[in-house]
Amino acid sequence: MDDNTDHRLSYPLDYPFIQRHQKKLRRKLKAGLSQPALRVAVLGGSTTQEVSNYIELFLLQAGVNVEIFESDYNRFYESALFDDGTLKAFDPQIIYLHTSSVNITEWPAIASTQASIDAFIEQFVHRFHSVWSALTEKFNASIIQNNFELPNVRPLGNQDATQAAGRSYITRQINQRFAEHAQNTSGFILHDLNYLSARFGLDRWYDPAQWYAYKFAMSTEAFIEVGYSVAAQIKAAVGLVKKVVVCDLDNTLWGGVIGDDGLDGIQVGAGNATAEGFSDLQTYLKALRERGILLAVCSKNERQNAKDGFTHPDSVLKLDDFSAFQANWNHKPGNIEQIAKDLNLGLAAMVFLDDNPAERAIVAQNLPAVSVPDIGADSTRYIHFLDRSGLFEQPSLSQDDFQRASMYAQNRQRIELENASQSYDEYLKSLQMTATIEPVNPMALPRSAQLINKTNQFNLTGLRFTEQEVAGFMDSPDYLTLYGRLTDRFGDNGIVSVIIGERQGSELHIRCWVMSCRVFKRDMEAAMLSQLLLLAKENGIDDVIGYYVPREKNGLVKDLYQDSGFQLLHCSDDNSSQWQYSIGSEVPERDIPITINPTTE
Amino acid sequence: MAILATISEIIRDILDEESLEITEQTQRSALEGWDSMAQIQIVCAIEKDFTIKFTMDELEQLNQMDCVGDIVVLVSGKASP
Repeated sequence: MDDNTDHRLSYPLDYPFIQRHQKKLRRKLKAGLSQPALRVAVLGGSTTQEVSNYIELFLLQAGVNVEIFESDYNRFYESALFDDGTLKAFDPQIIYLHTSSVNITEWPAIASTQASIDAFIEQFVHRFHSVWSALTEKFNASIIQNNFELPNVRPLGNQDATQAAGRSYITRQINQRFAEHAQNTSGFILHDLNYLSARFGLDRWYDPAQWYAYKFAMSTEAFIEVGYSVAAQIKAAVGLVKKVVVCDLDNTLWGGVIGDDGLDGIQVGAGNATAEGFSDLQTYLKALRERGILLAVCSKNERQNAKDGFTHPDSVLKLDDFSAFQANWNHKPGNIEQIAKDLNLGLAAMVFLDDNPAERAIVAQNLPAVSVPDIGADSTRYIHFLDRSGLFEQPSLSQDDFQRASMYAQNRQRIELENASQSYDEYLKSLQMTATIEPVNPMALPRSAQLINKTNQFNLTGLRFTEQEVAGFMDSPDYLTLYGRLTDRFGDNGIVSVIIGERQGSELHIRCWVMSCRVFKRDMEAAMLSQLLLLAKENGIDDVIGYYVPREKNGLVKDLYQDSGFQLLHCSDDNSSQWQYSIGSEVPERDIPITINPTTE
Repeated sequence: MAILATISEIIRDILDEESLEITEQTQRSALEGWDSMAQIQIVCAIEKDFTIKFTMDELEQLNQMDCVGDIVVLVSGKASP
C-alpha cells in the first residue's frame, strides 16, 4: 500500500475516501496476506455489515489476515445462548459484541420508583452477563464488548443526568456495571463506545434516518471510527503492541534548539503557552512510561547538549526516564535500529515521534515496521495525535507493565556488574537468582497470555493463544502449563517464561514455549525445562516432544532442543524440526545458577 | 452529463469494478454486486460528493429505482448547479 493510502487510513481518518474505496482496499490488502486468518465473530444488536467491513479493513492494513462471521440482524443474544451451530463451526478467536444505546429499549417510566429502576438495571445487566458467560463457556475467545453511548435526546433536559429515571443517568450506571465486570474478568475487553462517541460528537454520531431506513446504530462516518477503534483492540489482543516511543528532542520534547538556544533558551515549563504545551507532552509521555511503554531518545545533537536538556528545572522527564539514548549526527533509521538492539525489541514495537516531516518520512520509508504518526505542525496538538492513534492499546494491564521501565533500569545495573565480573559464570552466580516456576494460575494468567502474544524471539512455535485459551489450558487435564518468574539481587523481572504442553497418552507435546528477551542468557530456559521434566514425570509422561517452527525472528532458539539434550525426530524442508526427550534417560546434570522454588517461611 | 459521470465513478468505486461501463440505461438489478449494502454506500457517497442530504421519502424512491438515469434525475433536482 502506498504511503498516501496508509496516511488516509490513519488518524485523522479520511472518511469519504475510506467509504468509497473500502472494498477495493480490502481486496488488495487481503491479496498480500497468506497467513491463516484470525477468526472474528461480530454479534450485533443492529446492522453489523458496515462495522465488520471496517474492522476487517484496519486489521488487514496492519497485516492481520482476518475472516469475519456476522450474526443475523440483532441476534447477538440468541447467537450466544442458542447458537444453531454456525458460530460453533466458525470457532471464533475474537468475539465483538456490537451493541449500543439503540439496544436499551423500554426505558423505565419517568415516575418509576427507585426500586423498579434498580430492578430494570439489574435485569438489563443480567441479560448481558448471560451472553458473556454463554460465550465464555463455549469458546476460548477474547470478548470485546461495547459499553453504551449517551442517548441522542433527553426528555428531562439537564435533569436527565440526575433523576433516577433519567436516561443519561441510567446509561452511566449500566456503564459502571460493565466496567466492574471488565475489572474482574480476564479475557473480557471493554470497548469504550461512550468515550468514542463523546469525542466524535453525539450530533454527528446519531443519524436517525439511517437508523429508521437501515438499522444503522450510528452514522456511516462513526462506523469507520468504531471499526478503527475495535481493530486497535483486536491488534493488541493478538499481540501487536507498541512498547517504545522513540522521541526527537528539539521542537518535539521542548521548544527551540538546545545546541543554539542553550539550556535557558529552550521552552518547557510554565513560562508561556508554548512551553506549557511541551510540558504537557512530557507529562503524557511520563504517563505512558508508568504504564509500561519505554521511552527512548533519537536526536541529531551533541550528546552532552541533548542530555543537558533534561537538567532543565522545569523538565518533567529526566534522563533516567529513558531506556535508550541516541544523540549524534547519524541518520535516524540507523539510530532507531540501534535502539531496538539496545532494548532487545523488534522494530515493530517502536513508535517514532518527531516534529520534522522530513525525518518522519525517512524513518517511515526505511523502517516500514516502525509506526510514525503524523503529529501535525502545531506543538500543542502533538499529544492529541499520539493519543488518538490507538497505538497503545492493550487488552489488559498487569503489575509487570507498571514496573517495566524500572526493570529496564535494573538491567543497566546488571550490565555494569557483568562488565565488572571475571567470567560470565561468575556474573550469573553473583546475580543471586531465584525463580518461581509452577503451573499457570489465575494470578499469573494475564501476564502469561501477554507474554505468549508479545514474544517473537524466544518463541519456539510462534503459536499465539488468547487469554481465554490459556485459561482453558490451565483448567484442562489434557494440558500441562508452567510459568516462570525470575528475581535477582537487582529486582524482580516478573513473569518471563511460559510453557504450554498438550498430553497425548504418555507423550507431552510442547505447543508453546516463550521467554522474555529481558532474561536471555541467564539459564532461565534450563530452569524452566528442568521443572517441566519434573512435572511431566509426576504426571506419568514418558516422552516430551518439542517443536521448533522457524518464524521471522526466532532463529535464536533454533538449536534450543538440541542443546538441551533432546533427540531429533524429524526435520522438514522448511527447517521445522521435532525433538524428543525420554523421561528417565540419563542426561548430565547441569548446574543451573538459579535457586528454583525456594521454600518460604 | 457531469452528474452521470460522477455517479458512475462512485458506483465503480463502491462495487470495486474499475472497468464497468455505466450509462443512464444501466440497471441496478443487472449488477450482481449492487446489493442493499452497496446501495446504502452509493447513496451515502452521492450525498457526500454533491453535498446534499436525501429525505426519507427520497431514500425510499432511490431504493425503488432500477435505472441509473432515474438516480441522475433525482440528484439533478437537488444538487445546486
